[in-house]
Amino acid sequence: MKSPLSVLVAVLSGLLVLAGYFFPFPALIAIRTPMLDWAVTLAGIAGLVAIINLIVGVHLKRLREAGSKRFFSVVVIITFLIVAAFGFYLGPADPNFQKVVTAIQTPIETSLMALLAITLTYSSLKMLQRQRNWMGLVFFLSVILFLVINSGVLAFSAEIPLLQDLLSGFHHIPAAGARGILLGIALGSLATGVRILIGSDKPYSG
Amino acid sequence: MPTLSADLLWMFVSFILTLMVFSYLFGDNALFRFVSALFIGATTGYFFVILIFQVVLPRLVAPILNGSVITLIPLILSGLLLMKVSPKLAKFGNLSMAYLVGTGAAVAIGGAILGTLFGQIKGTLTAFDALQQATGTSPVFLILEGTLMLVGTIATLVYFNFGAKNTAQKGVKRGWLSATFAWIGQFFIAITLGAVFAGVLTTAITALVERSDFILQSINTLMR
Amino acid sequence: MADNICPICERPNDPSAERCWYCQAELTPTEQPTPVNGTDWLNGLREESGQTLEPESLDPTIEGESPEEVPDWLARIRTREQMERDAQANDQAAQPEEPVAEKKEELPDWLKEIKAGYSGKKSDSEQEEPTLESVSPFASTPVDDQKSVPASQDRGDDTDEWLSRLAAWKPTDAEDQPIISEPGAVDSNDAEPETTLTPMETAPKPQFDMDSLAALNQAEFRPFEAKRGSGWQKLNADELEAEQQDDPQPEKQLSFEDLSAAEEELTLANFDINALRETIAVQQTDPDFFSEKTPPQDDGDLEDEDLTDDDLQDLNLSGTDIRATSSPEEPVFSDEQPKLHVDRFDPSPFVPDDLPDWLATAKLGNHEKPTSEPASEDLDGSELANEIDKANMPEWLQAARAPTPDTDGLSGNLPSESNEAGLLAGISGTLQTPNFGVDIRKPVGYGSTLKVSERQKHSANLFANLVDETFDENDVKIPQITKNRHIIWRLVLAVSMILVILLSATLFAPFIIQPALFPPEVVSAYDQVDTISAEKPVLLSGDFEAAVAGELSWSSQSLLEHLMRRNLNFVILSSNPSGSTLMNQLIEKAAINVEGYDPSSHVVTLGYLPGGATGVQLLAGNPRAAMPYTHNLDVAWNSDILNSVNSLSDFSAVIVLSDQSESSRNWVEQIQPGLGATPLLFVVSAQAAPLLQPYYQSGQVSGYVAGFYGSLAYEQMLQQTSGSLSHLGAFQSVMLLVVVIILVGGLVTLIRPASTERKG
Repeated sequence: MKSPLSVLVAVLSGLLVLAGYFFPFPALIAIRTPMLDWAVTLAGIAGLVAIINLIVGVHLKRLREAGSKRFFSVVVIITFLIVAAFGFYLGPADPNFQKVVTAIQTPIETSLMALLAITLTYSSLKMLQRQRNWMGLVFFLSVILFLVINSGVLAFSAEIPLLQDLLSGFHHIPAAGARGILLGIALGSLATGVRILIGSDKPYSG
Repeated sequence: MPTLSADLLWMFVSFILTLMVFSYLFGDNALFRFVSALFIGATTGYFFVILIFQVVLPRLVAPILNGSVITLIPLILSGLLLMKVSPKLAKFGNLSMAYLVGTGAAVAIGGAILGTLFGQIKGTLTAFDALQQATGTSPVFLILEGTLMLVGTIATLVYFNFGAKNTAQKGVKRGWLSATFAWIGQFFIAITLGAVFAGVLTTAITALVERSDFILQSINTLMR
Repeated sequence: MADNICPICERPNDPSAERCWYCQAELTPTEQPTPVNGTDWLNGLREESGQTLEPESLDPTIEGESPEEVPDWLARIRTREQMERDAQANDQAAQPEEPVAEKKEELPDWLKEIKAGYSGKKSDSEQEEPTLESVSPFASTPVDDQKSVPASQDRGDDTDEWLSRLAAWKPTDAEDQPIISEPGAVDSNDAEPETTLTPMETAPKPQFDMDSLAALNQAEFRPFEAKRGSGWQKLNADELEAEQQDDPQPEKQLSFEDLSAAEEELTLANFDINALRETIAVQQTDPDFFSEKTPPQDDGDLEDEDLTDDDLQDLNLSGTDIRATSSPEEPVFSDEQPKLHVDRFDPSPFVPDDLPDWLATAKLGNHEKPTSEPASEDLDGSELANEIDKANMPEWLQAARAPTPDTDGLSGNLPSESNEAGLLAGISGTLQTPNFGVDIRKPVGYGSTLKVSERQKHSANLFANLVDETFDENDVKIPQITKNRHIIWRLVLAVSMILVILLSATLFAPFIIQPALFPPEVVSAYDQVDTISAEKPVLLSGDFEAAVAGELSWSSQSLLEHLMRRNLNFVILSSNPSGSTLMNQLIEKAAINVEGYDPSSHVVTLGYLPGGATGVQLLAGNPRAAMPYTHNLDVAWNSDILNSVNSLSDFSAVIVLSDQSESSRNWVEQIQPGLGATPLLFVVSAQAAPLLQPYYQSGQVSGYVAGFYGSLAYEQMLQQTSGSLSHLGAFQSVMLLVVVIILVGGLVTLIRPASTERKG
């Protein structure tokens, strides 16, 4: 077995944390809390690793290679350095530094989401072209219905009790399906977590 | 004035960036790629600063400086995890990854059991308790509603069960009961996913409206 | 002559031997002098041949050995002996034996076989045997190439003559030579007392009388070369070729009849038949064996030269492949050209004038011995290799092989057809062995690291560049017409949607439908916010991306204003690095509409909580440990707002702003079980609402506001007008436009099913 120490660490740490859910003993909680704290810290460090890998492992490496993507890698690296330098100088709580989020990140991301509306609408034109069956038709009709509901134009139905009940019923249908989906997700998470805790799955090795 | 100028400047920057993103409507072009690269660089720089100031300093450096010996454990684990950057030393980070994965798996299991499984099963059963809570709705409708919820939940779960028997004559096939419930579940899933897609489209349309409104406001402000 | 019993292994050895043939132990020299001609072994053979062979002698069990240890050739010899003895016994009973016949019958069977075999009466299978299993003259037992062909009485005189000739032949060096032989073979031989060849078994060294052999034919015979060191005679290439041309008989074997009159001077005692046999066998297998590079010696006195392992290897004493094994690093097929030293080649002394066809037709060529490890310090095999001329395959052997043209004739004319190096060196008529340049008999060792050549690197780089260029331009190869169509359609949609948005404020304003139906979850959220305690702070968690900041800004506006109007304190944290900044922006924006609310005194920003669900679980268990500092690195829990908070239940409400159903689910799963009476509220994007609804219906979520329409409903309930209503017209217009577009597109797709089939 490759790296038995890693498996041991994963299993032990998982079992201790899991036991805290069902056995809230003070001694166990005293061990569990710092373990969760270490995991939270490591999650932040993992973000650091991802950023370093992106800048150094991808874009810096791309600088050495010939191609048209070198220019954009230069933009990325320069922007990163400038923002990081300002951040270390001003601090994360400085309003001027927070303009990076409010004036650069938010407009770009929101604009991309707006583009998504156009793209989704265009692709929805051919919705039935690919799924020409009963389930495709049901999906298509469901999209139409809930778009109308979400738009709020059916507010006039408040004066029509039958329509109101019908709309209320329509709201419960996706709730039933969503509940089944949530239960399925929970069962899948349970199975995956158990496989990791018994050492059957080792996504951390290699 | 300086503040107004600064705000104006940042508004102008946001306006330009918004237009550069919308240039994608004309196809992939250098402007769009430039703004994408700018976005990546700015975001990673911001995240880097946040991680240093709000993770490394308060959780690793400050406790060590305060004399906390137990903080050496996450410090060592963090050092090992940082070795993942190097392909040659990446194997040393497996220990930290194992700890993260084990802890995360336990959290997922606990949340799934206590948060979703118990809660949702209880919620499915208590739907019929609405009979005792007179909300103005007819009891028949409530019963139908509860039944709909129960059948829909079970049918959706059955749909995701792909177990089948291998019969000699008919090959691999589901039983008639599970096949029926799976078909019903398909119906509920299609409606649910349709609602989800409609929600995504609604969110995107809201973003489009918000951006359009921002463009209008920016033009008005800049023209003044 | 009595045998010299080895004190160690107690096996009989040659009386003249100084070391035991089997275990190489030193032997005490026997008092009996070694015969000049070294024919004690032959006398012994004659004595033993007169003995009646007992059937039990053939029984390997009596020999004390297991049947597996008896070599095949020995077993065959014994079998034939037994058969011949039986035949002799029957003949003796029928006819009186003549002295000559007796004498002849006294001859050992192996000798008879040689005689019979060389007279051309051997079978093909029997002929092949000596190629690999020939035994040296030092072998202990008769080889299995002794044929069972019964010798006729007519050949008895010939046998004597031939035998006498051979006996007169004497090796130059036959003393103190380590003998290489199979232990089994030796042991089996040793344990067979009735075998006529017992003296031979223990005779490690042949004693050849060169003078006697020279008496065979002075004109044809040349003594051994002293440098050779092997005691073997060198064949004169010219003489052999002359004999070959005179009498080219492909299948004629060397026979005793071919011996000239000079053989009479030879006695059997001086004749080492095994030496002859071995010589012949070696010549057949290694035609280059007789190629001798050293000049011939006129001196007839041949010294007993030491035999080296190299020579013994050539003699194939152990029955192994006589080809010298090359070192691993040396190529099998050597590039060295074999050197012809035909003029140096002297014939064997026991070879008569009229050589047998197979021997006379032997082509002498350069012998290129495969480079081998030095067998001994005494003799350098490479010298021999350089001195040995190449020989050709005898005709009888060629005939036994696949029908090929007369390679003897061709080999001299077409020297290129014969392999001059490698395994088939010296053999004419074979295909040219390619020179691989490496020793193919040993696998080439490869290192563990991947060896990549420059060309491979270049090819890999070229491929990588091609891939990069391909993905740099287009992920998928789309025709330009299709691309243009996509662009045009997207432009049309974008223009129409933006146009509707712009015109909604004017054209569509009268058609705006304000919300009249209030979703129950919004109502619950309103009720919860309205009833929460103002003494405790409210935990606001921002778990959304900047992409939905605009929507959530509209969605959360009314709820935040509602909280601010109640003068509640906020504790802000985020599980997203940019979430706390966005949250602060929302609060600042909402505070503008609430008079008297100062965010700086009512809001504590804890910052970023990493880890996702793990962080939320830590927050649920111990908020102080989860967020010890503010985003300014100040100690958070010493402030007035958080002073009384030790757990999540100490908050008046937990409100999560989320854009993903997964993050909402994490908060519900991790936080809700430990909240107790504290309400859990959500402000979510429209895309997360469907999957949050079951949690609300199960009671795990106290209420939530979903999307723009939910915020409008919340505004309606607050009975306040905010910026959201101004955007309602645009929102509803675009939504209806999209509905119409999708509906029309779906109907067109249903009506035109053939378009899909056409495009395939």
